[in-house]
Amino acid sequence: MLKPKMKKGSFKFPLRRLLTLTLFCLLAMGACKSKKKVVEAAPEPAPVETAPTTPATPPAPAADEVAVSELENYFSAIVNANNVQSANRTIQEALAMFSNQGTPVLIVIHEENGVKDYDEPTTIQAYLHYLKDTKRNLNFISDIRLDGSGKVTELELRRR
Amino acid sequence: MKKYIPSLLLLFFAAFSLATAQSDNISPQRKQAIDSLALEKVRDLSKYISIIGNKQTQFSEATRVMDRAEELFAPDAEMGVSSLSSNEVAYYKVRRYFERLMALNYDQVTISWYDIHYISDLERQPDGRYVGVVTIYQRFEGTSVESGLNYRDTTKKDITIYVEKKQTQVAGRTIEFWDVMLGDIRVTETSA
Repeated sequence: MLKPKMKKGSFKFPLRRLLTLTLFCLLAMGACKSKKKVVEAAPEPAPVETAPTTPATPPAPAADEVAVSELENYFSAIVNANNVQSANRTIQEALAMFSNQGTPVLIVIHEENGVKDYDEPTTIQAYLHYLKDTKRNLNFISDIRLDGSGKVTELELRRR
Repeated sequence: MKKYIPSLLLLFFAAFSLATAQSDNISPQRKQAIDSLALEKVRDLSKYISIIGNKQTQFSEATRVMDRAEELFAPDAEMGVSSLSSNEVAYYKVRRYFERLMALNYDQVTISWYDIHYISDLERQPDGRYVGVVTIYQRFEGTSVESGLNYRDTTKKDITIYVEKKQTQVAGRTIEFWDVMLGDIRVTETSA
């Protein structure tokens, strides 16, 4: 009965490979060592004296940032007005920032996966009077668009 | 083959129902935002009613606020009005109610709403609208200096709310929004 032949040299082959790998690693480590020696041997560059720098002035705020800040202040003033006349005066001042009284105001109530859910769009005049009537400022300004003369042409608000 | 037809039909309808349900589902966070939006409209109405009834409010302001308040309602919505002196509840078209409110013969009127909450959550209907019911408690106080007449009552009212997705054009682009409409406001309790 014939016995199945075992492969010759099956024990020696992996051993040879292991020895080759070990030799390669030793050579690589030696190369790294020699590189390190080269780095250490390089002389340090002489320190270069530089003139003291003046602190950088902060960049001027962008026009839209200024507009947002002003509008938020107006919203707060309208909500906190002591009487209707005072609130109406503030409303007229705020309206001067807009291209017209019918400038659209979009209010985002929720956003999910890039899809925005809106309340019914309104106009800036209606919204300012809404702030006066309800005396609640539930939203913050999330986006603003200005025309060439710096007037607000569209406003997007979001629930706080 | 014939014996498999009922199973295949059942499988077809199940798949169809599942597809329909998935297209109707909105996330809990989105639903909560819609619930909050509708509740805010009710709170807005309470402010408007308070302004309209206040004798200190100028006629032009009261008229403007009546216009805003009327816009919150569905067409032909009615407001229930009750009194301690009568068991009957009268219903008026909302504009008529506001006009009567403004004309009340008191020197001072105070109306406040409180404990505003859902008694029936907004639920999607087959036509795509969401319908729910919000209940409110209203405290009414009327004072007449000349006659010394004072009237106070507390009324519990239920408000049907409809929410629907609509479209409009804003700056040349189409915007979808959630339109909240208030339906009839019915009196359920009146007490001193």
